[in-house]
Amino acid sequence: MDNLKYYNDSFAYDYDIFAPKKTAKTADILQYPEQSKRKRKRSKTASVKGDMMRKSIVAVLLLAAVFGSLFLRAEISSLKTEIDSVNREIVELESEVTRLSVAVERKISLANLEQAAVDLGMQKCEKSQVTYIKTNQLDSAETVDGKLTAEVE
Amino acid sequence: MAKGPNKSMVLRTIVVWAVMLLVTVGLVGGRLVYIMLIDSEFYQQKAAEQQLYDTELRAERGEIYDRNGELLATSAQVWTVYITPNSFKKVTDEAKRNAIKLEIATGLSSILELDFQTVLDYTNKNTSYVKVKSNVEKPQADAVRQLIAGSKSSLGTYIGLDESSKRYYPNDSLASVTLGFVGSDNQGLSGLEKQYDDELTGIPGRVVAAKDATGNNMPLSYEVEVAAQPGNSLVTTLDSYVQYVCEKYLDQAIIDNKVTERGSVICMNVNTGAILGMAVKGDFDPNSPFTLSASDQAIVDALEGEEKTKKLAELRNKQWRNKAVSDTYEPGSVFKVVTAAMALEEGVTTTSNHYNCSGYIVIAGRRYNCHKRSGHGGQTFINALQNSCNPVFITLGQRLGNKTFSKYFEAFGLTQKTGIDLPGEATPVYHSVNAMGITELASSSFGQTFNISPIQMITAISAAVNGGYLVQPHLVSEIVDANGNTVKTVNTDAKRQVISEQTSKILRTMMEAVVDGGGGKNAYVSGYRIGGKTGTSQKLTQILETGQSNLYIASFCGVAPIDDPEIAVLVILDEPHGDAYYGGTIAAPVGGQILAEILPYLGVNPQYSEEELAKMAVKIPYVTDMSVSAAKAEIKAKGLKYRVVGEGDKVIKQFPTASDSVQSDGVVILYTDETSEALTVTVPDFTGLSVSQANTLATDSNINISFAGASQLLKGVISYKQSIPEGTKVDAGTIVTVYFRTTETAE
Repeated sequence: MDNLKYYNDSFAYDYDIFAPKKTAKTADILQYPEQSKRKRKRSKTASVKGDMMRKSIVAVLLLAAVFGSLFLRAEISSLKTEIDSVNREIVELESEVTRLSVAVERKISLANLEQAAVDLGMQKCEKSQVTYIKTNQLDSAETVDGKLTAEVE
Repeated sequence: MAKGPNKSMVLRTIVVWAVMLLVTVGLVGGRLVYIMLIDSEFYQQKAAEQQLYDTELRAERGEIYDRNGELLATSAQVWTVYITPNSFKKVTDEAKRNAIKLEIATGLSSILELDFQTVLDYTNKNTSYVKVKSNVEKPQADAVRQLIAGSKSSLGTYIGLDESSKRYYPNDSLASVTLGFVGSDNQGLSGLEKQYDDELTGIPGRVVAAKDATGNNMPLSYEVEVAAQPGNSLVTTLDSYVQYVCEKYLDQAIIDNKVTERGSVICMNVNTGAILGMAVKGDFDPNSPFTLSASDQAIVDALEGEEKTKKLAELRNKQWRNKAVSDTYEPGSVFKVVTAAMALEEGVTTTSNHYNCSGYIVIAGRRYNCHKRSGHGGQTFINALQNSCNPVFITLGQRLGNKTFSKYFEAFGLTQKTGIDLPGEATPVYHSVNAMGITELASSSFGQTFNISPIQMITAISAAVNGGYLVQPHLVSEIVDANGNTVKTVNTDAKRQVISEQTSKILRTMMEAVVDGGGGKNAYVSGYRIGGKTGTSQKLTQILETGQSNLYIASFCGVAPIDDPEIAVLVILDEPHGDAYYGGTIAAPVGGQILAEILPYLGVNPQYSEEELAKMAVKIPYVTDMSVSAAKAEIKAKGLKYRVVGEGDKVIKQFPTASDSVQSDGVVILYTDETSEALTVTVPDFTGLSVSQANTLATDSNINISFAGASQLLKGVISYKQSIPEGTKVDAGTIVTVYFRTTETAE
């Protein structure tokens, strides 16, 4: 596996199948003591059964790991696509907000407001209607329920 | 029997093979060395192109704000809808192919508001890509997507949507010439958009990912994303309201005075150089910058062929051109403030020096006329500026001499561009000190025979009144990044001091005298101390070229409050062809109207004299539901008149309503029963009247009038405009605004 140059930690493929097969080492062979023929035969049958069981469990686990990994990859890919889609939607909606805000701004432009006021028969404050007050300290504005709402200089 | 190869033959064969092998290995190895070491970048690039896909991420263009944070320009995502006509070739059944084309043409023409036949023609083109419409907004883009999704013909194979960006200007044409506009690739093409294009553009991002053998993306293993960096935003010194006021009155003045070569207004803070408003009319809507005004389009439509193309380009360039910065003009008498500053600073005159004007002066055998041919007679220096007397200023120029004049001319920043942050600032044309003879000096002294831009003129006037400091005019105060962090702030330090504080103070007094009793009377605003200078310059070059004699530029530069200057307003009307062309008659009222609206807005409180208070409009009292006798007494007590309509003994309706304001002697109509119909009257012609004549006519007509323009405190003012046209049927008591101006000229 290590000689695969472009191996990239992928779980989608079992790159082990391309790796050189290891030969069983003689040193790993267990040497059983000489026993009676019958006893040896029973013991050998049990050992083969256990070995098969272990191999089966390992194979199942390996398969589960491979399929699990594939499933997770597929899930991640699907979620990423979904995130991209949502991000695109956010950009679209933000742009729509901008477009609509601009449309609102146009409706309430100074020229339109002035025209609307004139159409309603309104007129600008005459000088006699304006009183300028200079204060040395902060003024506060209170609502009818007595709560302080703002302070102005 | 043939012998086998001998030892020598074997050896030679081995050597030949060895050489061939070495050569081959050498060639292959050499090529490998070349590919892997010398030309590696090229092949890496090729490999990347084959194995990777690379998408550019659009960087959002920065926004532009006014000084109060009002949005002036922003960007949003839009789409370009395209079709791929070559894809139709895959459909072998002709009937089916035509049906698909028909479906596309019908759907897209309906959604995108295009001509059906045009879209159908697009489908018949022999190409792989045809843009159907760009700048398609979300509702239309969604409709196109629905068209694709709802069709059984797999329209997605033939129709596509590309993302792009569109620039929005929420205030339409407001400050359009100053803001500029962007091109199809969102690049700034004029105005601030061009000047600050690098700041606004941002840095595009990109997504790089591997693709498999079939060309599909492999986002998980190899994707690298470099986020786009949005452009910085500009915080300008413009104030939307000030800009609006400048444009409103400039627009009206252009119509009223039949101005043919556009006009401009600059409103500047004299102490910092911050431009609060820069209006140029006729301008354009930056949301569709290539669209001409209706009148210009009519001119283009009347032409054919190359002439039409040429005219179209000319008119587009004209509407985009910032007249306040990119055009030069002869400033005329407004420049006399600068000459006065030189003369006072150099001590060649004092305000109390007396001069005599006989209507002309002869310099080096050449006669220079005063605008008042009969002469102003004896006058002080203050009177000379009030009267805008040419011979006096020519005399002062001669006293200064060309070297001193040129020294100050340069010090006031008139020999070079101001450096305002806008593209295309005009270069001034003037007499250099060596080329300035006596006659050039004479004409330059009263603002003729040299050309400067309006922005140079208002900067020089600002220096004259702000204590003598030449400021840097500028439009952007701050550059902020996408997170609102300040990237850069503009330095508003003065460039240099040109004249002393004392000289500046004297000039302010003299300029106030011009508005209070000189040529700038039409800029008078009650409650405010305003200084100013008017100008009317002949367009000598154009006069010589065209043979026309009535080509003038009328201008006015006002400063307020003149005792502690904050704001300067320069109004320029290029080629007025109305009843009048003098700056004092047509440009000064515009300056006065603008100052009257923006000074209270900017927090400058009016200080009324007793005389002004006595002449102020009267607020109408609430007399509805009162008995007729009580209502009469209440109205009479306010100095108003009344007229009773009906037979009842109680007022059930009044007109004008309470809180409306009318001039003293105004009339209030009292309705006393339901059966009486509203009394209607016809608005008379209020133009060409003195204040008292207008008052009398209003009373006789059962109309109320409100005064505007030159104050009624001044003698010799004549009404020239009214808010409701003559002949209009209105309710009795309706308030008509009548505009006054003085026709006395002092240019």
